[in-house]
Amino acid sequence: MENTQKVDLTKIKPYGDTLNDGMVQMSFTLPVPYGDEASEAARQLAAKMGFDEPAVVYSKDLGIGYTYFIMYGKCTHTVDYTTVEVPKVDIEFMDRDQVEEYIRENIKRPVVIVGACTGTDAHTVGIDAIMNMKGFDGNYGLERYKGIEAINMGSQVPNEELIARAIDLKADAILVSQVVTQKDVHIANLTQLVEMIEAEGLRDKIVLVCGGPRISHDLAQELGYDAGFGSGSFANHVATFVVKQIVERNLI
Amino acid sequence: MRLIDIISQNNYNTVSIIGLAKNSGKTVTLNYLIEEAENLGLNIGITSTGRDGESVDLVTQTQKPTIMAAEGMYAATAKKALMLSEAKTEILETTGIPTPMGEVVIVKVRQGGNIQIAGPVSTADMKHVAERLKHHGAQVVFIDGAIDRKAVSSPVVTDACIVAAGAVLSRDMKKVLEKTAHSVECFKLAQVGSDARKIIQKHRKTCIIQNTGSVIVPDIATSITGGKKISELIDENAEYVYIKGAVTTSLLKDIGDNKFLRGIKIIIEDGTKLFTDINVWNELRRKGLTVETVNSVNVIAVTLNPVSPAGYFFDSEIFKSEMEKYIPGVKIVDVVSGGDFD
Repeated sequence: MENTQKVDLTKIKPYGDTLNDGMVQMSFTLPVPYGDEASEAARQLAAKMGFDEPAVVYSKDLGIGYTYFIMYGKCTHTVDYTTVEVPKVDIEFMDRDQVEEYIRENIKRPVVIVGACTGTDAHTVGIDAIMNMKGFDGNYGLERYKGIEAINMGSQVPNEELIARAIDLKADAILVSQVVTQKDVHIANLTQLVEMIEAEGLRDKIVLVCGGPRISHDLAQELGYDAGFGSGSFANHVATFVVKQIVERNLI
Repeated sequence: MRLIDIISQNNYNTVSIIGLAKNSGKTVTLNYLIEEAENLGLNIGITSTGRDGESVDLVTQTQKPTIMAAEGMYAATAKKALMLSEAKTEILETTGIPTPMGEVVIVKVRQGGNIQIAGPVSTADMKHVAERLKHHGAQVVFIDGAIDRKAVSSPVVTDACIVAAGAVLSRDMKKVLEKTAHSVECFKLAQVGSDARKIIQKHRKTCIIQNTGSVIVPDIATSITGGKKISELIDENAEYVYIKGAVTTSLLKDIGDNKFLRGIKIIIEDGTKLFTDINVWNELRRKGLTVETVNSVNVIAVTLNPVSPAGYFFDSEIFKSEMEKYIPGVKIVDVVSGGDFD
C-alpha cells in the first residue's frame, strides 16, 4: 500500500474507487422519448455540466415521451475544504434533563412554544420531529419536555393564524418549518411572518426560530430570525436555544 | 438636487434602504450613497437588517456586490461578519445584541477595504444601534434592508426611506412599475388630522372613534384575526377606525364588507404595517376604502436596477421615464447605469 495517496484537504473531489477519481453518480429525467438519441442527449448534457467521460449506465422509458437516466461522470472541480465555513447555532447543547432543569431553575414557569409549517407547505416531517412527543431518531420531541408547553399547529398554517395563536397563548417562542416549497416561496413566506410580528410590536418579546433542509443559521440572519436549524437538528438543540435566549434576552 | 444633498440638507439622520425583493439593488444603492457621502465629506455609519457584503447570495447563489468601506466610516456588524471583512477596524463598543452571526459590535474603519455587514434582526435593537452609531460620530446612518423586509423603514425607526426597485420583480416591466407604485403608495399614505391623532395616541389600541368623540375599544387580542369583531362595531356614527399592528388583506376585506365603509377612515400606524395584495387593495379603494396613517413614511427616492440576475434587463431610460410617470413627485435614480444628474 505504499502508493496510498494522502487526502489533500485544500483540493477535495469525489471518491469512487480510488482517491480523487472524481466519480459521480447522478440521475435525471429528460422530456424526450426513450432510445439511443435520448441517451446521447443525456451524455452531451452531462458533458456540458463539466463531467469528464460521462456515461449512461441505465435508462428507462417513463412513458409519455420521457426517459429516466442514471449517469456516471468524473468531476473535474475541487473545493478547498480548509476554507469552508458554516455558521451554526454556537452554543453548547443541553439534553432533555438539562433543559428541564434549566427551566426549573432559571425561568420558573412553563415555556410556551408554538410551531407550524406555514404557507403552502404541507410537509410536517420537520416540525413533527422537533415538537411531537415521539420525536425523531431516538430524540423525544418538545411535547415530552417537562416545563415546555408545545403547541404544534400542523401544516399549511397562514402566518396570520400562527401569530394570532402565539398572541393568544402568550408564546415565548415561535418555530416555523419550511420543508418543500416551489421557486423560493418559502423565503417570502418567512419574511412576511417576521414583518407581521414586527408590525404587531412583538419581535423583541419573542424568540423566533426557523428550520428545514434549506434553512441555515446564516440564512436566518438575512430573514430576520434569531436562529435557523438545518437537517440533523433535534428537539434538544431547539429547546436549548430557546430557553437560553429567554434568559439572555430577559424575556422571563 | 442630488440624493445625498437631499439627505444632508434635510438633516435626515437615519435612512433605510428597502427593496421589494432580493437582488433589487439595495446594496448597489448603499454603495452609491457611500461614494456620494465620501465626495461630500459626510461622516456616515452603515448597518444592515440582514447580511451584506458577502460576494455570493445565500438563497439564489448569484453574485452580490461587495461593500467598500472607506477609512473613517462607522459600521455596526456582527462579530463573525467582521472576521470575514478585509477592512481593518477598531471596535468602539460591544452592544450585547445577539444575532445568528454573533454579537453586534460598533466599529470605526481604520483602513479601507471590503466589509461584511450583519446587524440586529429586530427593529427595536436596530434603533438602538443607529443611536450608538450617531453617538460615536456618524452624521447619517444608512440601514440596508434584507430581501423584502420593510419594518425598518417605519418612521418610528428611520427618518427617511429609499425604495430599491429592480427588474428582478418581473420580466414584465409594467408589473414592476405597478408593484413599486403600490408599495410607495402605501408608504406615502396621508397622515390623519391632529384631533384624531390625539385620541389615537391616548388609547394606543385598536379602536373606533365616533363623530361624537366617544371611543369604542373592541375586545380582541390582535387585529389580525379581529376583522369581523371590529366590523360589527362600525355603525353610522363611526368616523375613524384605528388599527394597531399588522393590517392584513383579510382584515381589510372584513371591513370592506361593512355598509358604512364610505363613512369611515381607517387609520393605521404607518405604511410598513400594511400587508395587502395589490388587487384586493385596488378593489377596496374602488369600493370607497380610505386609509390614513399616524405617521407617514418619508420616501425620498426610488432607485432602479434595470438588470435581473435571471439574465434579462430593461432599457434603463424607458424604465426610468415610466417609473417617473407611475410615481410622480418622488426622485427616481438609476443607480446601475445612470446616476443622478439633475
